[in-house]
Amino acid sequence: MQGQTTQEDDAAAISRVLAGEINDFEYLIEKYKGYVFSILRKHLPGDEVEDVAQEVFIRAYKSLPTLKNRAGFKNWLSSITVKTTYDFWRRQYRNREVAMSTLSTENRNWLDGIIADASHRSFHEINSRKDAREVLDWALNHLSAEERMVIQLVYLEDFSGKEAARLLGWSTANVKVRSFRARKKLRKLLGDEGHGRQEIMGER
Amino acid sequence: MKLSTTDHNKIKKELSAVWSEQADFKESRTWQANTMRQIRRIGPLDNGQGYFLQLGQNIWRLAPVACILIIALTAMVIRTDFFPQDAVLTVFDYDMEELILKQVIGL
Repeated sequence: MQGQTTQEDDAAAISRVLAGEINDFEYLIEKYKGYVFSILRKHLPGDEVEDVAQEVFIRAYKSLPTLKNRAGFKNWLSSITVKTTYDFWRRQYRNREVAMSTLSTENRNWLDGIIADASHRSFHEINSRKDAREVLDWALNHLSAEERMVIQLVYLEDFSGKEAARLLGWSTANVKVRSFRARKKLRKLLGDEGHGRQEIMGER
Repeated sequence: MKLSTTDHNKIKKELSAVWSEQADFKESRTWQANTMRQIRRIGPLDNGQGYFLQLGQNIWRLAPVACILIIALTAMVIRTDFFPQDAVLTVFDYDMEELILKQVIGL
């Protein structure tokens, strides 16, 4: 019931904005900025979140006349947020000049520890989280912008292919194919860094 | 070297856990004001823009109707035994000399 009222409030605010009352858009920003930040915080480096969030709301404002289902503003906004994130990564990858580094020794140890089910991880929990984050960033940096998006949505967030397709504006088949290739690539990357090293150490 | 499915699942579990951990994020105090300033700079949304966008969408809605019309017209032409080649041949069969003479005489 409350959800319905919220949707009606959104629809009313959108109608006022479309009628020329620009300031009423601030109601939508105030209401949904937390939601947008929560999506962007996962997908982007911390120092980029504010700029991209601003881009999201500006895009949403400009595209408002094309929104058919005004009660579904939140879903529509989430799709704009994910697409803006994708555009951000495409720009980043286009401008990337520095060659990608390999994993640090600590990060490799973390991977080995996970594979070997090492129990010492518990008392180094904070470091372990840091290493995990670094391994994740390293792996994602080795993927293309498209692969990165499907891995983040399908592999890490457990979205279905259909949901990811809606958010990205791609076909479901496209998401499934990219997801399959990206998983394979990720598995190989992690395998080369983790298992490969274990074998080398074993040979010694 | 390819990871075994078990090893891969262990790593996936850890990476997914780190991914879903959300660091608190608090936007700067000026963020919302700056965003609204940019939006005000864009100005009111142009209804004309909306009109043309809707027009674009509606044109695509007419596509199936256009297809049905094309099929119906084709069926109609086939049923009435209309062959464009025959029409062209009829024009060439016409005695052009006689036609011009008739025009000159004014018949």
